[in-house]
Amino acid sequence: MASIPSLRDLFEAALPLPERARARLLAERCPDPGQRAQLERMLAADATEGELLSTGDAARAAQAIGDASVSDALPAGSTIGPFELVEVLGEGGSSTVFRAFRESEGVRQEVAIKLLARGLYTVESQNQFRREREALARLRHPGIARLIEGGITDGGQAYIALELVDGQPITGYARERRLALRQRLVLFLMVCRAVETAHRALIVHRDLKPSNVLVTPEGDVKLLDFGIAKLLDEEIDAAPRTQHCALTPAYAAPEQFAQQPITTATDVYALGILLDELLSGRRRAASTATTPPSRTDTPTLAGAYGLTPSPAAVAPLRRKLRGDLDNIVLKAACPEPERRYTSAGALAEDIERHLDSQPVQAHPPSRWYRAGKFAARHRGGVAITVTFLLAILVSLSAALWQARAARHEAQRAEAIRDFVVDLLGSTAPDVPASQRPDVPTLVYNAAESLPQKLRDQPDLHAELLYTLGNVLRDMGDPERSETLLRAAEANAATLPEASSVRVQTGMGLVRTLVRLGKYDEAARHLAPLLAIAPRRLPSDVSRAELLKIAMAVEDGRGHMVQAVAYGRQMIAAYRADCAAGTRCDQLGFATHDLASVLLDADRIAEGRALADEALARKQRDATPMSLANTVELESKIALYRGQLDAAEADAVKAQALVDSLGDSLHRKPLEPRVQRIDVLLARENATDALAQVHALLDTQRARESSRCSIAWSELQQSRARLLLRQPQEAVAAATRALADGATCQRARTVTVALAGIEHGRALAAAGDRSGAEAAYARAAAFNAPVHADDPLSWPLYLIDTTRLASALGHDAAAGRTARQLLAALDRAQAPPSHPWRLEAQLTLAAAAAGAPRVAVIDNRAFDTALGRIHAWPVGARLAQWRAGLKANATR
Amino acid sequence: MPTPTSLDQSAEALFVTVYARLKAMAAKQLASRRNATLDTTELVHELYLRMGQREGLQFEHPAQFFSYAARAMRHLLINRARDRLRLCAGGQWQRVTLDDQSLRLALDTAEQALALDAALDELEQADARAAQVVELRFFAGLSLEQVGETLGLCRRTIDRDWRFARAFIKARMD
Repeated sequence: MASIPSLRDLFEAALPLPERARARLLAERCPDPGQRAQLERMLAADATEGELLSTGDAARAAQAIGDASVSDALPAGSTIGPFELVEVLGEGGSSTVFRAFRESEGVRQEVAIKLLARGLYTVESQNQFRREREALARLRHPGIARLIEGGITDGGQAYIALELVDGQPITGYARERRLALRQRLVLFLMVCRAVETAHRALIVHRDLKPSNVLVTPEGDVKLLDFGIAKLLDEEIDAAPRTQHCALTPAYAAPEQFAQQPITTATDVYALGILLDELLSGRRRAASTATTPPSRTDTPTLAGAYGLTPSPAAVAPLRRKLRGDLDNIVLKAACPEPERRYTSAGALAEDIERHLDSQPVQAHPPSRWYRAGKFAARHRGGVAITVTFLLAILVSLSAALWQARAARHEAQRAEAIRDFVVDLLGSTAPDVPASQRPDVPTLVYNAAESLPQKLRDQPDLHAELLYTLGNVLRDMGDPERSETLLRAAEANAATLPEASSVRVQTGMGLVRTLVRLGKYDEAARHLAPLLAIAPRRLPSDVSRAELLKIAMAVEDGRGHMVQAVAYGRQMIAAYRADCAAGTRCDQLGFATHDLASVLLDADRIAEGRALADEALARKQRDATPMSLANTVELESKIALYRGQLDAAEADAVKAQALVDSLGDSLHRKPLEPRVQRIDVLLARENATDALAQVHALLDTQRARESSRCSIAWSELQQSRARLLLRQPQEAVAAATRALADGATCQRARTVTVALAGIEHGRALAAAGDRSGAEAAYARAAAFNAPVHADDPLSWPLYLIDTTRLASALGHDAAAGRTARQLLAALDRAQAPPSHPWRLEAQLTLAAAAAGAPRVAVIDNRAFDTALGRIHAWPVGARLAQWRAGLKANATR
Repeated sequence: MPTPTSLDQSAEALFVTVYARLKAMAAKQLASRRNATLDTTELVHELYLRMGQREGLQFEHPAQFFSYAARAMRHLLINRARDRLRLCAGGQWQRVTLDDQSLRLALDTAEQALALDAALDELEQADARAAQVVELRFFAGLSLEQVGETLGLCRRTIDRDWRFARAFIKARMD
């Protein structure tokens, strides 16, 4: 039979035919009446003239549709979320503000509602809106109008409810009350402090102006609309990290007009203009040349302070403005961002100095400023937003402060930091936001464009390079970190072997090589450092730290004996340090790290003892995150040992610790949740496990976790489905786990191996014997690597391999893996009630016959152990199995 | 357990870039000349030149750029249409900003645009290349000649694609 002609074939065949022939063709070759009707409509449409849309092309259609206005569509009495609108307070380009209220338990709460002019339809844009909103909701300061709530209505209408402030613009307030100069400055300090708080939370106002800076009748400052400009950003919809177009010309900084990156310096500029207006009474028109406040014309100055408009009356005021205050305003409102105050806090401090009659900081450009200008001429197109800038600043200061203890060294470090920040902050304008390099690129570029002055000093140059290299590694860019650290090494080569810069450079390079998996090379670079006699080491490096790195290197090389040996020396060194009164805080980390290495070396019992010590130490003074890490390790050990109650309690506790961090973490680690599911599955509590694994998968997909980590969850899903006797679903989940697991690095062989095993078990349960056999044959090859890579998952791998072998009737093979499992559990001193120990014993008994079978299971100790876990589903299942075997044996 | 993945400059990222740029340019063009038409062809070609020459951004093929640009223009138009219809949904429209006639046109066009979008989705199922020809012509503003050059197909093939696509969409939209 000929293939069925496609719609297009028929259409094109019918086109040249006269009408009657067309009808015949359709009758013959198009039996489906629906398709025939469609073809007839198409042929009729083909005969008509006209564009696809009546308006013409896409652009003209967009024009005809026009921009929709919010307030027209929402009269008083309309509701948005839980709020009822009362009246329009203001309307701007991208948003409309309403007075609104809601009644809750008899209380009427009045709020200001901002509605975005456009809708948010895509999941991505809605998530972006929510993220921004959450950042703002966390911003709490008495001087900032609070964000009460925000949301997106079903229709895609995004809104935010803000604290409704009863107050008047700061400039009007000062004029009406005829505040003296000093009172104005004090009021302005409150504004700076509020802005500073927001900047610390990485939120830039972007639109500071008198109408957003209100003073309440009680005399409190309230800033409105913090960060709202970004929320209203037209481009939220499209790309993250972009800038907005909404601005108020008189207060907008030059970089805003130029569509250049917006930073905290942008707000400093607006504060400068605001201060000028507050002090002089003049409204500075956009882009007029800047004259100092003391030169304001007499009528304006007199009007602002309620003085007689005569030169003599305003002369004392002029004198007070001249000098410091002129300089402060000019520095804050300087057109070049890098010459302004570095923060609102720095501006406030200068005003405080002025109020205390101390010399202010507003002064001519510094040496670093000049160096920055030099560098600026040589840099490539680099642009940066405030978030980037602050991220770099934070990591740089952290790295430098850690490296530098002595006070004068710290000052030098700060100078370098300022320089680098200058370099990064004063950026080229014409790179679009979405193509701006990411932070690692910026750091790398900064390192490449260091000025000659720095390059001429090898020690300083090396120091800067290794610092930036360390930052890059910590930011997850080990490749470029390696480049910088190798350059640092070349610079440091002429320095004495035991000098701080040379040792730090070497340590940084080794850490990066470890991150890159180049363990052998790391070992070669580490050897000379380890050879330095401990007392010759520089004061900022401890022998213990070097040993810890050595342990990690050997762990990575798979030289477990050597790794454990270094680990023991490391612990001894830290214990000695602590006994001498230094670095005691490091012992918690050190014991934890050695415990992990011991577990990696399959020394479960010994690792457990050290993990207990780590836990005890961390419970005294560790951060919740670090504590959660160790508690999770404890849970893993308990799971290995079959102590499922303890394992679950620890998993829950680790989760609670992570949760206690609130929203301050960008991404909470998911490991405690993964671990809890593993425990539930060991208990064979399939329903709970499945519910939790689904929630986990949702989270992982939402945050685009690596496919390798998703594969583990899919494995868990498959295991739960098998327990629920849903073989088809189990096969599907295991198939996904196989595909995702294929992306895993070598170190996660266990995921790949287990995916194969679970796939086989699911196929066997679904009745596909040959498929299951194939999966089993493939999985056998993984035995050794799984054991070497992840001893903690070894029992799980063995029990499920045993189960698959039993299901396929390979009794001898099942017996072999069951014995391997028993041996592993013995080594870890796992108690007799370990459910997998009991299951392994039953497997061996089932394969045996007659008397040996009875000997294995007709045993008081077995009964007692089984009785201990009877409350768990796995215990009930095993008891049932045992009863069956017993009945069989005695028959 | 989870290992971090690095974001590469994937096709997705390129699309986002094109989309963001076009959107910003369109907004600017509309703002700078309130009553002038939004010139798709001009926008798209300007962006192509900028991205290709000044920024050295490499597209595998011009077709990749233009199909992204067309897709982006489609998003812009559809979002605008949805905004218009959403705001009219309450039926409380005050006829202040628009007189009856242009309001009618705005609403009709918005509805038509959404219908076109849906028809194009269906066409994509039936004949993906014909759908691409429509996107390139209607949304990226290319002439059929240029569409042919971009896709590396002869003019006759493109004409046939266009004729089929046009009939398919018009039949769907009526």
